[in-house]
Amino acid sequence: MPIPATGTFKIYPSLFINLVDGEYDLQAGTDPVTEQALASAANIAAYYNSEVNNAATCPKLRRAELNASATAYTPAVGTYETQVFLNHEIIFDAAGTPTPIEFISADFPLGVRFRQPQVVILGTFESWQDNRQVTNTKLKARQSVVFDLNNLSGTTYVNHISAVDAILSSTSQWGANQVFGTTLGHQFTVVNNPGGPGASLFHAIQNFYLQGTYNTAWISLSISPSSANPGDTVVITDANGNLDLFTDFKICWKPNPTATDLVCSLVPRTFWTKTSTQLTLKLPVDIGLPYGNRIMRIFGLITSPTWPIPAGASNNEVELGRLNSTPLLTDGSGIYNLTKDKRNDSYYDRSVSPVVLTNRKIINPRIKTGFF
Amino acid sequence: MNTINHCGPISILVMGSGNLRVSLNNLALKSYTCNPITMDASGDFKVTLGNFANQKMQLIIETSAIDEYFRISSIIPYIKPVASGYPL
Repeated sequence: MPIPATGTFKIYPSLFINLVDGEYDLQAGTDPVTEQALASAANIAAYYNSEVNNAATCPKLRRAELNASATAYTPAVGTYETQVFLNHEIIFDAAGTPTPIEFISADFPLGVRFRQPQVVILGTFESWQDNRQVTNTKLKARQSVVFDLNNLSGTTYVNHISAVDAILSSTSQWGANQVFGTTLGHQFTVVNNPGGPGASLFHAIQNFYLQGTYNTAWISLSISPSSANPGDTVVITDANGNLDLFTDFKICWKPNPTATDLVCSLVPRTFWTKTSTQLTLKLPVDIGLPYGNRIMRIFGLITSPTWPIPAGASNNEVELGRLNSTPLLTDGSGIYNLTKDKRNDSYYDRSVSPVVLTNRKIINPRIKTGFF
Repeated sequence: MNTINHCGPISILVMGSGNLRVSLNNLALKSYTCNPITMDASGDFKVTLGNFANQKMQLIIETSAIDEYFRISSIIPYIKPVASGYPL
Protein backbone atom coordinates (compact mmCIF):
# COMPACT_ATOMS: atom_id res chain seq x y z
CA MET A 1 0.00 0.00 0.00
CA PRO A 2 1.67 3.28 -0.99
CA ILE A 3 2.36 5.80 1.70
CA PRO A 4 0.11 8.85 1.41
CA ALA A 5 1.94 11.93 0.28
CA THR A 6 2.18 14.92 2.53
CA GLY A 7 4.14 18.11 2.48
CA THR A 8 5.95 19.57 -0.49
CA PHE A 9 8.07 18.00 -3.15
CA LYS A 10 10.54 19.30 -5.63
CA ILE A 11 11.48 18.32 -9.12
CA TYR A 12 14.04 19.76 -11.48
CA PRO A 13 12.66 19.51 -14.95
CA SER A 14 14.89 18.75 -17.83
CA LEU A 15 14.24 18.01 -21.40
CA PHE A 16 15.78 15.60 -23.81
CA ILE A 17 15.57 16.62 -27.35
CA ASN A 18 15.95 13.67 -29.58
CA LEU A 19 16.99 15.00 -32.92
CA VAL A 20 16.90 12.57 -35.68
CA ASP A 21 17.94 12.91 -39.22
CA GLY A 22 16.03 15.72 -40.61
CA GLU A 23 15.66 19.33 -41.02
CA TYR A 24 14.97 21.41 -38.03
CA ASP A 25 14.56 25.06 -37.32
CA LEU A 26 15.91 26.61 -34.22
CA GLN A 27 14.26 29.74 -33.09
CA ALA A 28 16.37 32.72 -32.36
CA GLY A 29 16.79 33.56 -28.74
CA THR A 30 18.18 31.76 -25.78
CA ASP A 31 18.44 28.41 -27.27
CA PRO A 32 20.22 25.80 -25.27
CA VAL A 33 20.36 23.49 -28.23
CA THR A 34 23.26 25.02 -30.02
CA GLU A 35 24.72 24.25 -33.33
CA GLN A 36 27.67 22.79 -31.58
CA ALA A 37 25.53 20.34 -29.74
CA LEU A 38 23.83 19.34 -32.91
CA ALA A 39 27.07 18.92 -34.72
CA SER A 40 28.30 16.47 -32.16
CA ALA A 41 25.97 13.80 -33.37
CA ALA A 42 27.51 10.69 -34.79
CA ASN A 43 27.16 9.27 -38.28
CA ILE A 44 26.85 12.52 -40.09
CA ALA A 45 29.85 13.71 -42.04
CA ALA A 46 28.85 17.29 -42.54
CA TYR A 47 26.00 19.66 -42.42
CA TYR A 48 25.40 23.05 -43.81
CA ASN A 49 22.99 25.83 -43.80
CA SER A 50 21.62 26.09 -47.21
CA GLU A 51 18.47 28.10 -46.98
CA VAL A 52 19.26 31.75 -47.37
CA ASN A 53 15.77 32.88 -46.71
CA ASN A 54 15.71 31.29 -43.32
CA ALA A 55 19.16 32.15 -42.12
CA ALA A 56 18.27 35.46 -40.59
CA THR A 57 15.76 34.45 -38.01
CA CYS A 58 15.43 30.75 -38.10
CA PRO A 59 18.55 29.03 -39.21
CA LYS A 60 17.74 25.77 -40.78
CA LEU A 61 20.31 23.09 -40.39
CA ARG A 62 20.31 20.47 -42.95
CA ARG A 63 22.53 17.52 -42.62
CA ALA A 64 23.97 15.79 -45.54
CA GLU A 65 26.68 13.32 -46.15
CA LEU A 66 28.93 14.59 -48.83
CA ASN A 67 29.96 12.06 -51.29
CA ALA A 68 32.25 13.20 -54.03
CA SER A 69 32.07 9.90 -55.73
CA ALA A 70 28.84 9.20 -57.43
CA THR A 71 29.31 5.51 -57.24
CA ALA A 72 29.16 4.77 -53.56
CA TYR A 73 27.48 6.04 -50.51
CA THR A 74 27.29 5.11 -46.91
CA PRO A 75 23.91 4.87 -45.31
CA ALA A 76 23.85 7.07 -42.32
CA VAL A 77 21.27 7.39 -39.70
CA GLY A 78 21.89 10.03 -37.16
CA THR A 79 20.08 9.98 -33.90
CA TYR A 80 21.25 11.66 -30.83
CA GLU A 81 19.98 13.36 -27.81
CA THR A 82 20.89 16.48 -26.10
CA GLN A 83 19.67 17.24 -22.64
CA VAL A 84 18.47 20.63 -21.71
CA PHE A 85 18.30 21.60 -18.08
CA LEU A 86 15.95 24.39 -17.46
CA ASN A 87 17.68 25.55 -14.28
CA HIS A 88 14.67 25.94 -12.15
CA GLU A 89 12.96 23.79 -9.68
CA ILE A 90 9.33 23.20 -9.24
CA ILE A 91 7.85 22.80 -5.84
CA PHE A 92 4.44 21.34 -5.46
CA ASP A 93 2.29 20.49 -2.57
CA ALA A 94 0.72 17.12 -2.10
CA ALA A 95 -2.34 18.75 -0.62
CA GLY A 96 -2.81 21.15 -3.47
CA THR A 97 -4.25 20.93 -6.92
CA PRO A 98 -2.28 19.38 -9.75
CA THR A 99 0.78 21.47 -10.43
CA PRO A 100 1.81 22.47 -13.89
CA ILE A 101 5.30 21.38 -14.62
CA GLU A 102 6.46 23.61 -17.37
CA PHE A 103 9.23 21.98 -19.30
CA ILE A 104 9.89 24.79 -21.63
CA SER A 105 9.65 28.05 -19.82
CA ALA A 106 9.24 31.45 -21.34
CA ASP A 107 12.88 32.10 -20.58
CA PHE A 108 13.98 29.49 -23.00
CA PRO A 109 11.97 29.78 -26.13
CA LEU A 110 12.64 26.63 -27.97
CA GLY A 111 10.94 25.50 -31.06
CA VAL A 112 11.99 22.34 -32.66
CA ARG A 113 10.60 21.61 -36.00
CA PHE A 114 11.11 18.32 -37.65
CA ARG A 115 10.51 17.52 -41.19
CA GLN A 116 11.44 14.70 -43.35
CA PRO A 117 14.99 15.22 -44.43
CA GLN A 118 15.59 16.99 -47.63
CA VAL A 119 18.59 16.52 -49.74
CA VAL A 120 20.14 18.98 -52.05
CA ILE A 121 22.02 18.05 -55.11
CA LEU A 122 24.50 20.67 -56.07
CA GLY A 123 26.48 21.07 -59.13
CA THR A 124 25.93 19.94 -62.61
CA PHE A 125 24.51 16.80 -63.93
CA GLU A 126 26.43 14.89 -66.45
CA SER A 127 25.56 12.10 -68.69
CA TRP A 128 26.92 8.87 -67.46
CA GLN A 129 28.10 6.14 -69.65
CA ASP A 130 28.85 2.49 -69.62
CA ASN A 131 27.16 0.67 -66.84
CA ARG A 132 24.88 3.52 -66.02
CA GLN A 133 22.53 2.43 -68.71
CA VAL A 134 22.34 5.83 -70.18
CA THR A 135 20.69 6.22 -73.49
CA ASN A 136 19.96 9.58 -74.95
CA THR A 137 19.82 11.22 -71.62
CA LYS A 138 21.42 14.29 -70.32
CA LEU A 139 20.25 16.95 -67.98
CA LYS A 140 21.60 20.31 -68.90
CA ALA A 141 21.23 21.96 -65.60
CA ARG A 142 23.45 24.00 -63.41
CA GLN A 143 21.02 24.57 -60.68
CA SER A 144 20.50 22.77 -57.47
CA VAL A 145 17.71 20.33 -57.24
CA VAL A 146 15.92 19.82 -53.99
CA PHE A 147 14.72 16.33 -53.48
CA ASP A 148 11.88 16.11 -51.07
CA LEU A 149 12.27 12.81 -49.35
CA ASN A 150 8.70 12.37 -48.54
CA ASN A 151 7.08 9.22 -49.67
CA LEU A 152 10.08 7.24 -50.62
CA SER A 153 8.91 4.20 -52.38
CA GLY A 154 10.42 0.79 -52.49
CA THR A 155 11.58 1.41 -56.00
CA THR A 156 13.13 4.36 -57.61
CA TYR A 157 10.44 6.16 -59.42
CA VAL A 158 9.89 9.81 -59.49
CA ASN A 159 6.35 10.93 -59.07
CA HIS A 160 6.68 14.33 -60.56
CA ILE A 161 9.06 17.18 -60.83
CA SER A 162 7.99 20.71 -60.25
CA ALA A 163 10.03 23.73 -61.00
CA VAL A 164 9.62 27.20 -59.65
CA ASP A 165 7.17 28.13 -62.27
CA ALA A 166 5.89 24.96 -63.78
CA ILE A 167 5.16 21.35 -63.29
CA LEU A 168 7.52 19.69 -65.65
CA SER A 169 5.88 16.39 -65.90
CA SER A 170 2.72 14.64 -65.03
CA THR A 171 2.06 13.12 -61.69
CA SER A 172 2.20 9.67 -63.08
CA GLN A 173 5.02 7.42 -62.23
CA TRP A 174 8.08 7.98 -64.26
CA GLY A 175 9.55 5.26 -66.28
CA ALA A 176 12.40 5.37 -68.67
CA ASN A 177 13.09 8.19 -71.08
CA GLN A 178 10.86 10.74 -69.47
CA VAL A 179 11.20 14.22 -70.84
CA PHE A 180 12.61 16.65 -68.39
CA GLY A 181 13.37 20.17 -69.43
CA THR A 182 15.65 22.28 -67.32
CA THR A 183 16.18 25.97 -67.06
CA LEU A 184 19.05 27.70 -65.43
CA GLY A 185 18.27 29.24 -62.11
CA HIS A 186 15.28 27.17 -61.25
CA GLN A 187 14.99 24.93 -58.29
CA PHE A 188 13.21 21.72 -58.72
CA THR A 189 11.48 19.52 -56.27
CA VAL A 190 11.41 15.86 -57.01
CA VAL A 191 8.70 14.00 -55.24
CA ASN A 192 8.79 10.28 -55.12
CA ASN A 193 5.87 7.97 -55.25
CA PRO A 194 3.85 7.37 -52.15
CA GLY A 195 4.98 4.43 -50.19
CA GLY A 196 6.99 3.43 -47.23
CA PRO A 197 10.52 4.48 -46.51
CA GLY A 198 13.45 2.35 -47.32
CA ALA A 199 14.27 3.12 -50.91
CA SER A 200 17.78 3.89 -51.82
CA LEU A 201 17.78 7.59 -52.39
CA PHE A 202 20.98 7.41 -54.29
CA HIS A 203 19.52 4.88 -56.55
CA ALA A 204 16.62 7.18 -57.09
CA ILE A 205 18.96 9.98 -57.96
CA GLN A 206 20.78 7.81 -60.39
CA ASN A 207 17.63 7.06 -62.14
CA PHE A 208 16.70 10.64 -62.07
CA TYR A 209 19.89 11.45 -63.85
CA LEU A 210 19.28 8.77 -66.31
CA GLN A 211 15.84 9.77 -67.21
CA GLY A 212 15.06 12.40 -69.65
CA THR A 213 15.60 13.10 -73.23
CA TYR A 214 18.37 14.89 -74.94
CA ASN A 215 18.16 18.54 -74.12
CA THR A 216 19.17 21.41 -76.23
CA ALA A 217 21.31 24.20 -74.97
CA TRP A 218 19.64 26.54 -72.57
CA ILE A 219 21.62 29.39 -73.86
CA SER A 220 22.40 29.99 -77.47
CA LEU A 221 24.92 32.73 -77.84
CA SER A 222 26.43 34.79 -80.56
CA ILE A 223 28.66 37.82 -80.32
CA SER A 224 29.08 40.64 -82.74
CA PRO A 225 31.49 41.87 -83.84
CA SER A 226 33.91 39.04 -83.25
CA SER A 227 36.79 41.44 -82.97
CA ALA A 228 36.82 44.53 -80.83
CA ASN A 229 39.03 46.76 -78.75
CA PRO A 230 38.53 48.67 -75.51
CA GLY A 231 36.00 51.38 -76.09
CA ASP A 232 34.10 49.41 -78.71
CA THR A 233 30.56 48.19 -78.29
CA VAL A 234 29.66 44.56 -78.76
CA VAL A 235 26.36 42.81 -78.82
CA ILE A 236 25.78 39.36 -77.36
CA THR A 237 22.61 37.65 -78.36
CA ASP A 238 20.96 34.72 -76.68
CA ALA A 239 18.34 33.25 -78.94
CA ASN A 240 16.83 31.37 -75.99
CA GLY A 241 16.17 34.56 -74.09
CA ASN A 242 17.95 33.67 -70.85
CA LEU A 243 20.08 36.78 -70.42
CA ASP A 244 17.76 38.01 -67.69
CA LEU A 245 19.46 35.63 -65.36
CA PHE A 246 22.69 37.58 -65.43
CA THR A 247 23.03 40.52 -63.12
CA ASP A 248 26.57 41.60 -63.83
CA PHE A 249 29.24 41.15 -66.42
CA LYS A 250 32.95 41.00 -66.37
CA ILE A 251 35.71 40.95 -68.90
CA CYS A 252 38.79 38.86 -68.55
CA TRP A 253 42.01 38.95 -70.49
CA LYS A 254 45.60 37.99 -70.23
CA PRO A 255 47.74 40.81 -68.86
CA ASN A 256 50.49 39.86 -71.25
CA PRO A 257 50.81 37.34 -74.04
CA THR A 258 52.62 34.77 -71.93
CA ALA A 259 50.46 35.04 -68.86
CA THR A 260 48.66 31.95 -67.74
CA ASP A 261 46.16 33.61 -65.46
CA LEU A 262 43.42 35.92 -66.50
CA VAL A 263 42.84 39.37 -65.17
CA CYS A 264 39.23 40.33 -64.83
CA SER A 265 37.35 43.55 -64.44
CA LEU A 266 33.72 44.02 -63.63
CA VAL A 267 32.00 46.05 -66.30
CA PRO A 268 30.48 49.21 -64.82
CA ARG A 269 26.75 49.10 -64.74
CA THR A 270 26.46 52.12 -67.01
CA PHE A 271 28.40 50.34 -69.71
CA TRP A 272 25.80 47.76 -70.54
CA THR A 273 22.14 47.33 -71.25
CA LYS A 274 20.32 44.15 -71.78
CA THR A 275 17.08 42.47 -72.53
CA SER A 276 16.36 38.81 -72.21
CA THR A 277 17.79 38.20 -75.66
CA GLN A 278 20.40 40.84 -76.18
CA LEU A 279 23.26 42.34 -74.24
CA THR A 280 24.84 45.52 -75.50
CA LEU A 281 28.13 46.09 -73.79
CA LYS A 282 30.73 48.78 -74.19
CA LEU A 283 34.21 47.59 -73.47
CA PRO A 284 35.80 49.87 -70.89
CA VAL A 285 38.77 51.78 -72.23
CA ASP A 286 40.73 51.36 -69.07
CA ILE A 287 41.09 47.66 -69.30
CA GLY A 288 44.72 48.33 -69.96
CA LEU A 289 45.61 46.22 -72.91
CA PRO A 290 49.10 46.96 -74.02
CA TYR A 291 48.64 45.13 -77.24
CA GLY A 292 45.90 45.04 -79.74
CA ASN A 293 43.47 42.33 -80.66
CA ARG A 294 43.84 40.75 -77.27
CA ILE A 295 41.48 37.97 -76.63
CA MET A 296 38.82 39.20 -74.29
CA ARG A 297 36.37 36.90 -72.61
CA ILE A 298 33.03 38.20 -71.46
CA PHE A 299 31.33 36.50 -68.56
CA GLY A 300 27.85 36.87 -67.26
CA LEU A 301 27.50 36.66 -63.52
CA ILE A 302 24.53 35.38 -61.66
CA THR A 303 24.99 37.14 -58.37
CA SER A 304 21.78 36.04 -56.77
CA PRO A 305 21.28 32.49 -57.76
CA THR A 306 18.29 30.68 -56.49
CA TRP A 307 20.35 27.69 -55.63
CA PRO A 308 23.07 27.19 -53.07
CA ILE A 309 26.59 27.75 -54.26
CA PRO A 310 29.05 25.26 -52.92
CA ALA A 311 32.07 26.74 -51.26
CA GLY A 312 34.86 27.26 -53.75
CA ALA A 313 32.67 26.67 -56.75
CA SER A 314 32.56 29.02 -59.63
CA ASN A 315 29.23 28.04 -60.96
CA ASN A 316 27.72 31.45 -60.80
CA GLU A 317 29.29 32.70 -63.98
CA VAL A 318 28.97 31.79 -67.58
CA GLU A 319 31.19 32.75 -70.44
CA LEU A 320 29.02 34.56 -72.92
CA GLY A 321 31.43 35.43 -75.64
CA ARG A 322 34.98 35.75 -76.67
CA LEU A 323 36.42 38.56 -78.72
CA ASN A 324 39.36 38.41 -81.05
CA SER A 325 39.36 34.66 -80.85
CA THR A 326 37.76 31.60 -82.23
CA PRO A 327 34.30 30.70 -80.95
CA LEU A 328 33.78 29.59 -77.41
CA LEU A 329 35.73 26.60 -76.35
CA THR A 330 35.76 24.40 -73.34
CA ASP A 331 38.82 25.18 -71.33
CA GLY A 332 38.22 22.92 -68.40
CA SER A 333 38.98 25.70 -65.97
CA GLY A 334 35.69 25.45 -64.20
CA ILE A 335 34.14 28.36 -65.98
CA TYR A 336 31.03 27.45 -67.80
CA ASN A 337 30.73 27.27 -71.47
CA LEU A 338 27.33 26.19 -72.58
CA THR A 339 27.02 27.27 -76.13
CA LYS A 340 25.92 24.02 -77.50
CA ASP A 341 24.95 20.72 -76.13
CA LYS A 342 27.23 18.15 -77.60
CA ARG A 343 26.75 14.71 -76.32
CA ASN A 344 29.81 13.26 -74.69
CA ASP A 345 31.54 16.61 -74.79
CA SER A 346 32.59 18.15 -71.57
CA TYR A 347 30.49 21.24 -71.57
CA TYR A 348 29.95 21.22 -67.88
CA ASP A 349 31.63 22.66 -64.89
CA ARG A 350 33.65 19.87 -63.48
CA SER A 351 34.79 21.85 -60.51
CA VAL A 352 31.67 21.03 -58.60
CA SER A 353 30.92 17.49 -57.69
CA PRO A 354 27.37 16.48 -57.16
CA VAL A 355 26.56 16.12 -53.55
CA VAL A 356 24.70 12.93 -53.16
CA LEU A 357 22.94 12.00 -50.06
CA THR A 358 22.58 9.07 -47.86
CA ASN A 359 20.12 6.34 -47.83
CA ARG A 360 18.11 7.75 -45.04
CA LYS A 361 15.95 5.87 -42.72
CA ILE A 362 13.15 7.92 -41.40
CA ILE A 363 12.91 7.79 -37.65
CA ASN A 364 10.14 9.37 -35.73
CA PRO A 365 11.42 12.66 -34.47
CA ARG A 366 10.57 13.09 -30.87
CA ILE A 367 11.03 15.11 -27.74
CA LYS A 368 11.34 13.40 -24.42
CA THR A 369 11.29 14.97 -21.04
CA GLY A 370 13.54 13.91 -18.28
CA PHE A 371 11.99 11.62 -15.69
CA PHE A 372 9.97 13.55 -13.16
CA MET B 1 12.73 10.53 -5.48
CA ASN B 2 10.22 7.97 -4.32
CA THR B 3 7.17 10.12 -4.67
CA ILE B 4 4.46 8.57 -6.72
CA ASN B 5 3.09 11.26 -8.94
CA HIS B 6 0.04 11.25 -11.08
CA CYS B 7 0.08 12.97 -14.41
CA GLY B 8 -3.24 14.23 -15.67
CA PRO B 9 -3.74 16.80 -18.36
CA ILE B 10 -0.86 17.57 -20.63
CA SER B 11 -0.96 20.91 -22.34
CA ILE B 12 1.32 21.56 -25.27
CA LEU B 13 1.80 24.78 -27.16
CA VAL B 14 2.30 23.41 -30.60
CA MET B 15 1.92 24.22 -34.21
CA GLY B 16 2.44 21.75 -36.92
CA SER B 17 0.86 19.33 -39.24
CA GLY B 18 -0.40 15.88 -38.55
CA ASN B 19 -0.95 14.05 -35.31
CA LEU B 20 1.25 14.62 -32.32
CA ARG B 21 1.57 11.41 -30.39
CA VAL B 22 1.92 11.76 -26.65
CA SER B 23 2.77 9.02 -24.23
CA LEU B 24 4.11 8.58 -20.75
CA ASN B 25 6.71 6.04 -19.77
CA ASN B 26 8.03 4.91 -16.45
CA LEU B 27 11.50 3.63 -15.74
CA ALA B 28 10.42 0.15 -16.60
CA LEU B 29 9.10 1.43 -19.91
CA LYS B 30 5.58 0.73 -18.98
CA SER B 31 3.68 3.28 -20.93
CA TYR B 32 0.46 5.09 -21.14
CA THR B 33 -0.64 6.38 -24.52
CA CYS B 34 -2.58 9.60 -24.52
CA ASN B 35 -4.96 10.61 -27.20
CA PRO B 36 -3.05 12.12 -30.12
CA ILE B 37 -3.19 15.84 -30.70
CA THR B 38 -4.26 17.03 -34.10
CA MET B 39 -1.95 19.87 -34.96
CA ASP B 40 -2.62 22.91 -37.00
CA ALA B 41 -0.75 25.97 -38.07
CA SER B 42 -2.27 28.26 -35.49
CA GLY B 43 0.15 27.49 -32.70
CA ASP B 44 -2.23 27.05 -29.83
CA PHE B 45 -2.27 25.15 -26.59
CA LYS B 46 -3.57 21.68 -27.16
CA VAL B 47 -4.53 19.43 -24.30
CA THR B 48 -4.51 15.70 -24.05
CA LEU B 49 -5.26 13.66 -20.98
CA GLY B 50 -2.85 11.42 -19.24
CA ASN B 51 -3.71 9.06 -16.45
CA PHE B 52 -0.47 7.66 -15.26
CA ALA B 53 0.89 7.31 -11.77
CA ASN B 54 4.46 6.27 -11.15
CA GLN B 55 7.46 7.11 -9.13
CA LYS B 56 9.24 8.35 -12.18
CA MET B 57 7.69 9.09 -15.50
CA GLN B 58 8.80 10.55 -18.75
CA LEU B 59 6.76 12.31 -21.35
CA ILE B 60 7.42 11.44 -24.97
CA ILE B 61 6.12 13.50 -27.84
CA GLU B 62 6.61 12.49 -31.40
CA THR B 63 5.27 12.30 -34.88
CA SER B 64 5.22 9.11 -36.81
CA ALA B 65 4.00 9.76 -40.31
CA ILE B 66 5.87 11.09 -43.24
CA ASP B 67 5.60 14.83 -43.71
CA GLU B 68 4.32 15.49 -40.24
CA TYR B 69 6.13 18.11 -38.28
CA PHE B 70 5.78 19.90 -35.02
CA ARG B 71 7.06 23.07 -33.47
CA ILE B 72 6.66 23.07 -29.74
CA SER B 73 7.18 26.03 -27.49
CA SER B 74 5.84 24.77 -24.24
CA ILE B 75 5.02 21.49 -22.61
CA ILE B 76 3.00 21.55 -19.42
CA PRO B 77 1.97 18.34 -17.74
CA TYR B 78 -0.10 18.69 -14.61
CA ILE B 79 1.27 16.61 -11.77
CA LYS B 80 0.00 15.76 -8.39
CA PRO B 81 1.74 13.60 -5.89
CA VAL B 82 -0.48 10.81 -4.75
CA ALA B 83 1.88 8.95 -2.48
CA SER B 84 5.22 9.57 -0.93
CA GLY B 85 6.44 6.13 -1.75
CA TYR B 86 5.96 2.45 -1.27
CA PRO B 87 6.41 0.80 2.08
CA LEU B 88 9.85 -0.52 2.63
